[in-house]
Formats: sequence, structure tokens, C-alpha cells
Amino acid sequence: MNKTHLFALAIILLLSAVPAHAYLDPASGSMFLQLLLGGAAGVALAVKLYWRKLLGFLGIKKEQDDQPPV
Amino acid sequence: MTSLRFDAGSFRDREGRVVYSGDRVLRALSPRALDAWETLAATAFFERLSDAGKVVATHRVEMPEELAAEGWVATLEHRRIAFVSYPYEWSFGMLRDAALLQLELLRLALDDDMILKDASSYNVQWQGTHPVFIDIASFETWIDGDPWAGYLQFCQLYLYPLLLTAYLDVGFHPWLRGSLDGIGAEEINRLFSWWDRLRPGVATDVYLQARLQAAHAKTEAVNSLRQELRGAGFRKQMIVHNVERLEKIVRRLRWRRSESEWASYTQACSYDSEDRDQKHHFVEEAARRLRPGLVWDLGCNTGDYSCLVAEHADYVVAIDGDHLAVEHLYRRLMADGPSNVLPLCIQLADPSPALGWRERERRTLSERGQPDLVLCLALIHHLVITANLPVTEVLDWLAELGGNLVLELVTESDPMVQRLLRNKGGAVHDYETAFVVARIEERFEVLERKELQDGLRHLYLLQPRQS
Repeated sequence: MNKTHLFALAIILLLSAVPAHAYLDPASGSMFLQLLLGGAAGVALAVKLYWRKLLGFLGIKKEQDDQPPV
Repeated sequence: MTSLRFDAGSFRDREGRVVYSGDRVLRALSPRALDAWETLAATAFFERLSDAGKVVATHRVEMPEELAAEGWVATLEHRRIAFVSYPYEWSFGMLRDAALLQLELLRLALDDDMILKDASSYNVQWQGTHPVFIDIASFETWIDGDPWAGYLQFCQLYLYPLLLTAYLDVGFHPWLRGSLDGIGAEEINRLFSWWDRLRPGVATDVYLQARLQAAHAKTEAVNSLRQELRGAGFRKQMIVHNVERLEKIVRRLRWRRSESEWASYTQACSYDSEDRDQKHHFVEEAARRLRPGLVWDLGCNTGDYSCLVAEHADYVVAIDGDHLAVEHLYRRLMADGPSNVLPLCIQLADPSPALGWRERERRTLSERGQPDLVLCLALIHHLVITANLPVTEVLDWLAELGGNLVLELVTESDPMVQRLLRNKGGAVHDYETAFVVARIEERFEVLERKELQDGLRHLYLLQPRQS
């Protein structure tokens, strides 16, 4: 496992703390995973897309401050 | 023109449908599928793959009126596959090689801005030991910004079954036969320990996949993800990176037991040389005389007799319930041929059933082709004694197959049969030579007969009597 994958793994551990029981759309999880497995550019895009969610989850920023990292 | 018959397993993709016209295999296309076909047919990679036999030979033909009346706009014709098989009948090496073909096609398609819309292992068939991709309608133009829609299906129907056997030494056949969608990410994730997650593919494709499925089930805006990805700049290179990564993982997968037991396996299956020569001669002469189109070698073991008759037949389907034996036969055929033998892993006492929607998507073994010649060598004592099938049932089934039969009857005095009977406590009443021979003669005309090993084994060449 290379650095990209370790970083991806860390993100997912943060995002998926609770198992779900409701409506399941496995394809969307698979689509997001393709970002994480799509090399460094893919991981950067994943972070960009999920920046707000990540910060919100960590309680660092409020929802209106959603500028992605540059 | 002969009347048309739609393939009962070809309906999920609304853009095309497989149709049979006598012996011909046709594919009806929608306007969208026709566009995709014209794009595909013009690419250099498709021509190369067709020439190499990696995709089924296909050309456009005049459309039958019945198809035009149903709204289809074009028709393709495919070369017929000699014998249709399913992933739950393949050996580990076969599934791995089919997976590598699937990934190779995807990578080459992406170079020409095309993609495969799905990644089902049922889209691969075999010409001997060469995997052939058959679902031409799976190729379509890649839309800029779209991820690979078939990634999850690739995992469920190729990668997870392979990981199951490579890492846990568990056969994938009952799993694939149990669900035509393959093995789910959450399901296989529970089987792996934390230690296993250090192995290639487990943390990334199993653990992350399972966690992300759970995470995305919580989000409400799941349907917008594809739009989001397009808008955010998802690039083709990301799919290529993932495909190359998967190729690396799959290529390195090994079924360790098959590696370690290979040598001892062939030694354990050796015969006394004089009797072996006589048996070889009897079987080969039968094939030479009958010149069969399709042969089934039932209980083929490592395939000695499949290879022997292959020279005199169009195609041989070599069947055994022992996964290890089939895997070894596959490797042997890959290395030395012949090229017209298809090895399959099937338990004959519990053969592949009809499966899927309305029990018509996947056909039973006997629905997929009638053998002209059946080899059943030193097998029926296993079916009668080990699998507890009445001898009359076994003989009825062999007669119903309709072809000529080369049968080796191992009598109850043979040490191998004695060993099987020992644990049965005398409970097998119908495996007595005179009784079995009488039941054989009721159902078959005896064309030839020979005794081996001082009468302990009988060889027959039989023809089913007309019922």
C-alpha cells in the first residue's frame, strides 16, 4: 500500500464511522472509491469534493466556509 | 429464414439482444448500440483484438424482418461458441485469465475514448483455454468525466472470488453459483482479518469498498455524485490508474495449494502401464471410428483421455468435480494443448442448474449441447457408492445424453471399489457386476467390450437403444 492509499484510508476511516442500514446505493460508494484509487490526482479531487463534509465532521469549520484547499 | 429465438439470458442491456436463428448467433441493436458498434468497428484496437481471437468474431448482416418489426435497427452476427460455460464452472486460473482479459479490453478501449459499460464475468466464454469476450454491445463511447460504471461488478464477479481462493483457500464456485451478482463487498469484508488487510487488494478494494457503501448509504444526494464528478474534473487517467493497479493485483494472485500439490497429484494418478496402454487404445479407437463433433469426458481427472480423443473430435468438454484437477488440466492445456479441450469444474452428482430470472438466465449443463460421444471412465462406482445415486439412475442419465458412450466399469472386486464399500457397511445393494451389466444391456447396445486387470475392470463401447 503506497502513501496515496494510506491517505485515502485515513479519510475513509473518518467519513465512515457508523454502519448504515437504510437505502443502499453501492454504486455511488464505488464511484467515490475510484477517486481514491485513481492516483494522486484522484485523491486531490476527492479531498476537494469532500472538503466541507470533512471539516464539518471534524467540527473545524461551519458549512458556509467551504473553500477547498489549494 | 429460420424462425428466431431470443436468448433468455440476454435482456438486461436494453440496447441490444442476442437472438438465435438455427445455428447462427445474432445480436439485435438499438440506434444507440448501432452508433457504438460503428465507432468500435472503426477502431484499430478492436481489429487487433478480433484478429487475436480475444473478442468474438463479429460482422454486420442484413436484418431479419422480424427484428425490424420489433424496432431494432441493425443486426450483427457472432461466431458461435462451441460450448457455453459459466464462471462457477471455471478453475481459479481460468477466472484470473478472464479477469485480465476484461481489464486489457477496458484499458485498450479507454485509449480510443471508449469504455466497457459493465464488467460481468458472464461476458467471457472460452475457445479451449483461450478466453473470448462475447458482449460486443458492452463497448460504448466514454463520456468525458464519467467514472468506470463496471468497477463494482468487476470486484463482485472477478476480484472477490479470486481473493477468496488466493488468500483464504476457499473455492469460489458455490458463492458464484449461489448469486449471479457475485460476492458482495460487505460479505467478503467480514471474512478477512486485520492481518489480511495488508495483502494487495484487501484494504483498498474490499475494506474501503465496504466502508464506502455504508457511508454513501447515509448520504441523501447520492444520485448527484456522477454529476459532481463530471463537474469537478474526473479524468480518464484516473480510471486507467485504477485498471493498471487491478491488473497488477490480479496478475500476482496465486492459489497456493494448487502450486504445492501439483507434482504429487500427477504421480498419484498413474496407472499400471500395460492396462493403461490397452485402455488408451480402446478409447482412442472408439473416437477414431466415431469421429464425434462434441465429446464430454465425465470425471476427466487430469484430462489424459480428453487430450487423447481431442485429435479425433471437434471439441472436448472435460468435466471433473475436483477443482485442483481442473486447474492442473487448464495449465497443462495452456502449456501443451490441444486447443480444442475446455476444462470445467462441475460436480456430476450436483451439476449446474438453471439459474437467474425465471430460471432461464443460465442454462443447465445438459441444455447447452448434446454430446456425440461420452467418456465415463472409472466414474460410476463413485456416483453409485460415494454419491449414493442408484445405478439405474446413473445409467438412465447416461442414456438420456443421447451420444455413444465409452464406459469403464470397475467391478465390486476391484480394490478401489472395496475401499469405497468398506465405509458403507454393506449398504450399497445395487453395485454388483452381473446386476450392473444387465442394467447396461437394457439401455444400451454393446458395440465393443474388453476386460482389463484380470476381469476387475470392463470397458464398453455403447450406443443408447431407441426408447
